[in-house]
Amino acid sequence: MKRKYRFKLKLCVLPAAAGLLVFYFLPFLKVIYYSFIKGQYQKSFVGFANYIDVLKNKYFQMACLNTLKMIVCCVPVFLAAAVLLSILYCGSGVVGNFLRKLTILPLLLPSVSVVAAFVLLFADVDSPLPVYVLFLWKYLGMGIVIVSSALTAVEPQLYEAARMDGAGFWALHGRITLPICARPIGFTAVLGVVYCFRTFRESYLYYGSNYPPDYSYTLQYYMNNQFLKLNYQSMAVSSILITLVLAAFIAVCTGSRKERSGNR
Amino acid sequence: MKKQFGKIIAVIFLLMVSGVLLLPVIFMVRKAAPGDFYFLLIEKFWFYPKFWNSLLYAAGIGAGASLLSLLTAFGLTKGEFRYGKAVSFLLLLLMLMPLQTTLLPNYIGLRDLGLLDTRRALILPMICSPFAIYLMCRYMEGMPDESWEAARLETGSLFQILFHVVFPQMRACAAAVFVFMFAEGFNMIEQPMYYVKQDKLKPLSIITDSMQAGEEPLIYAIGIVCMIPLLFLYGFYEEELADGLGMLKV
Amino acid sequence: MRNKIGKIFLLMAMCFVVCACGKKAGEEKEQADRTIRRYEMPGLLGYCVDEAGEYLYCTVKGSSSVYQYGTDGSFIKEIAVGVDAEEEDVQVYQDDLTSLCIRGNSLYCFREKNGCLIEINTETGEGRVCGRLTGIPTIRKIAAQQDTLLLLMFPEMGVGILQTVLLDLQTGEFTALAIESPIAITSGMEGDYWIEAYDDNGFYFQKYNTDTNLFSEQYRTNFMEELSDITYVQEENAIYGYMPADLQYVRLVPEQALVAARFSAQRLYQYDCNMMMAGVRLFVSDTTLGNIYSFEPLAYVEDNTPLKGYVLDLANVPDWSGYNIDLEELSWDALALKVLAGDSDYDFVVLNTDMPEALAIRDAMAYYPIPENRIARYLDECYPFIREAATYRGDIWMLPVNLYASGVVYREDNLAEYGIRMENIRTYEDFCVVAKTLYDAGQTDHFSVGYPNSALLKEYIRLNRKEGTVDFDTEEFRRLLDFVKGEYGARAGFRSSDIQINFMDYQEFYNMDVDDVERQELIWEAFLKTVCFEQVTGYNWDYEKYEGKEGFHVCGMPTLSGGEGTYPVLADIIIINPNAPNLDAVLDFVEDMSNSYIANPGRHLSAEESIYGTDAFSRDVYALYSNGEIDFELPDELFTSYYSYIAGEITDKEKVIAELNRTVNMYFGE
Repeated sequence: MKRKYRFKLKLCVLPAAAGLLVFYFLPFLKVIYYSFIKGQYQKSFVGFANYIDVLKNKYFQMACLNTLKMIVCCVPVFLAAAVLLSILYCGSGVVGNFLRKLTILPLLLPSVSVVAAFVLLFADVDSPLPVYVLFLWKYLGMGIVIVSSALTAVEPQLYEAARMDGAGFWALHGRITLPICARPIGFTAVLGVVYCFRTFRESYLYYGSNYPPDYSYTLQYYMNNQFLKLNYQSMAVSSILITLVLAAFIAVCTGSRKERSGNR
Repeated sequence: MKKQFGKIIAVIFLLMVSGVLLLPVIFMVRKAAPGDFYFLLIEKFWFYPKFWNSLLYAAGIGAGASLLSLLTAFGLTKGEFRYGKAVSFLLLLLMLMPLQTTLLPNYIGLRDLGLLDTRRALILPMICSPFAIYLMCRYMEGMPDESWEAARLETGSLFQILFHVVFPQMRACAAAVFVFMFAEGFNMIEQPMYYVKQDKLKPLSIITDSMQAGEEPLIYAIGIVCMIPLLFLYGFYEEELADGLGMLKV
Repeated sequence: MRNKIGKIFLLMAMCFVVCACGKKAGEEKEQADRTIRRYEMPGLLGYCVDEAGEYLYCTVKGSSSVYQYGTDGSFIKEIAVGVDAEEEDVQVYQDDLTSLCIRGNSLYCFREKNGCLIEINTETGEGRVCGRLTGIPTIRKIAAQQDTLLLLMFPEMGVGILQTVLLDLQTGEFTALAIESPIAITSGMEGDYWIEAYDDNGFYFQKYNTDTNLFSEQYRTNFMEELSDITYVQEENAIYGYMPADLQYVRLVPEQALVAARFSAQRLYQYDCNMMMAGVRLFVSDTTLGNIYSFEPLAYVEDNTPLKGYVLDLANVPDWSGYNIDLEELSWDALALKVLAGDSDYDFVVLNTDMPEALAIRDAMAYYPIPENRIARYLDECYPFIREAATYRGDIWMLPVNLYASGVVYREDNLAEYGIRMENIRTYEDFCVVAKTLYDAGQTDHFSVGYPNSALLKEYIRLNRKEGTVDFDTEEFRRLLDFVKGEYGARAGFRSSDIQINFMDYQEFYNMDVDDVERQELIWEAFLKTVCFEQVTGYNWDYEKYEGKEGFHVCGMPTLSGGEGTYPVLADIIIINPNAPNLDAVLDFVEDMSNSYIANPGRHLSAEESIYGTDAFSRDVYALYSNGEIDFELPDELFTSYYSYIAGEITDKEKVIAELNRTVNMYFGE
């Protein structure tokens, strides 16, 4: 009986697995294949030549650096802001609740309308700041939603107990909230990175061109331009490299998390 | 005393933050002249079909994704797979892949399946979103085994178990996934641009493509109109969303 | 009144194979009859030909009769029309009869003088008035069905909007059809009328059924210009039409209106051509010249599988030379995706060399190399620079089908009066000095010259493109920037980003109450009196109006090279999809097109001097093109800082130069 169930359960996975296979895995394998051939119309195998070309390209390097800068600058701010604001919102009763619901608004707006308004509001700045601000502005809501939901799940007694012990604001949240909500916060961080990649759309609308200033030239611009120049090989290589880096990053994170939970 | 003072400061700060967040929205609302709305909603007939298209896609994706991810997550988490960690890792990876990576192969795949230029082309790939599956998996892990094992003793049909036991418990989570995927489906840009050619199948998000030159100011009005169904959705499901996300044992 | 007519006309078989439909290299196809017959009818007003193609009926100016001829040219009889003589009317316009239409034995015509629609029995010569219009309308065309007539008309004098009005022959009642902006009409199958109309989304055809009084669905086309007249051929279920903007004929099946065959036969320079099909011959008229022409359209239309092509801009369509082509406009993102995905649902792509996408396709080798033996004649006879541009790694990757070279047309003698000699004008600075001299001398109305500010930038890039990049940090470019900034708007007198002096105002001529021929002559005279600097971008008609005329010369636009070196030439090019589904057919198409284009002096592709005119102007044009070089341009978005500088949004010249260097290096270096 149990075995049959287990088999049936395993079958549950089938439709989604088929979908994932067709729409995500196989395409990814194809991309890997494309990265090793010379051109879409010259299907000769060239080994790692494409990889070397791309890695040596100084614009690719610049794009990597810019993307890294963005992630390193934005995600912690995103995280910190999400956590802090969630704490404040949840602690401010009804008003806070209402205001919290408003934060999701920027996410729901279509980028086109928003960026037009943004361009008018922002003056010419010589740094990628507008794009960072756009990112924060648009996606903060999502972070707040996730973290605040996690916060509400924390039992209030813990706070009562800690407050009675004389814990201040920072100690309270640092010692209680953060450890308990560590996983949602971690998830939010991951989400932040995902959204960092998605801001290409907003950035493109903001600069209105495929060739933005050097400091804003991120990986997605590089990939998109290669696509438009019909150089799919470079684009495939970049995608694979990004995926590898992300995979390594995730592996490290989950590995360390396992270790931490193992130690406890 | 100090606590109250602190609370007031907090509220003021939050108001300021909300104000900043809403600034572009307010700006947009101001820029959208009432005449634009009239024009958009009454005169220009391309608006309505596109709007319904957007809703259709978003709702289809939302519903499909939440149901499919429910099923899949149930199978994945309770089916005692050997390589659970690997699957989870893979899902995370797929989630993080930028869309441009899979655009071309997806296009080729859809073309070979003959699905190009149909509504299915926009809905199907998004239904199997790894994001939804991953999220649902995390929820499922939090569901106690006993609840459904008990049901298993009573009935042999998987469908019954899903419908009567799992779904009621996971309702909040399913709603959460629905809202996420709905928002994603409503705002998707690359897929409709490349996968469908016929104008009648296109949603609102790529409206700027087919707008004529003199109609730029309309984008503000369009933005606001686009916002409204999502606002409603969020408004209705906010409780479920919060509850659901609260159950998240990431 | 009647005397003018006494003339006999007519010729048989004028063998006139007109341009764009050249001779075929391969003789496998059976020789269809491509002769064009011409009937001369001085003073021609209206004509029609009966369904069997045996008789021709015409009316001429100043006569109230219909003249019947056989299509062999013989005169048969004169049918006097006087049945409406009793109907007197207040406003008298002309006595003439216009807009003939025949169905069976009934010939219909219209007398503008009293607004009467008259039906004449061709055998007995008896007539009757079948309807009467008020308001002095002008009828452009009449189409006839069993019990109805459809009139395409301007309802009143002075009202410039066409209307379609249905006349019930039994009751004599008129009803206006509810269709906006009709352009042309023709009768279809039993009880149907086909109407070509226009709305915001373009041109379309619609069928109106007189039994049900319903319109059919709209059959949309992708044309950029209208067909001034159409006719429906029942046996083929096809509509033929004439496109005056391109001087071409079109054949399409209305249910698949996107797939159309365009071909050139008898060129008409008049808008209204009163097209009708009789038997296998298509008849058209040119009332200005007083000619009626007939030819077999199917001899010009290739019986091939329809080909599909994508264009980035529908305005760049080549002559389709009789092939059935479905052209679709697509954005570059979508097309890039299709090219990368190796889609096999299209046969070719038409681009222009001013699009960087052309080079992208070349570098990705996403083309099917055109076999040289197929286009041997083209390659032999074309300019060497064309061949060079079309060759990549030993293969022919594209074929230029249209060339555009910017030049200046001038009159030596007029310029000499101001002490100007074109040979001394070498650079843009010289040119502007000259233009100012003329302007100051009072020549403000009769010449036009403009430097789009992009032209100088592009020239600079073309001349300074070394090792895959361009350096803007030079003295020359700084001088160019100063010049462009200084001249912008300064002399123009109106806000424009072009350096323009003035335009010739044609409006005064159109306001005159003269007929078209006289108007053209007046315009021409005015032209002759002026200094006549005209900038031309190289379309055929630009040069045509000067060909054969004395005193005109043309030279390349003076820019940076000081008259040395080559002139930039842009080209519309066609690239074959390597995965084309109809590869043989599209190769045939390219072969036929190449043969016809190389033989056509209007395309300026051929290096054979003998096909061009021997007058000074034609020789100048030839010299201009033979000294050309095909210019592949860079994307415009790299140069936004340049345009901002000109518009005054950026004021720091060094910043602009640095930014230009940055974007161009980024483009090349990615």
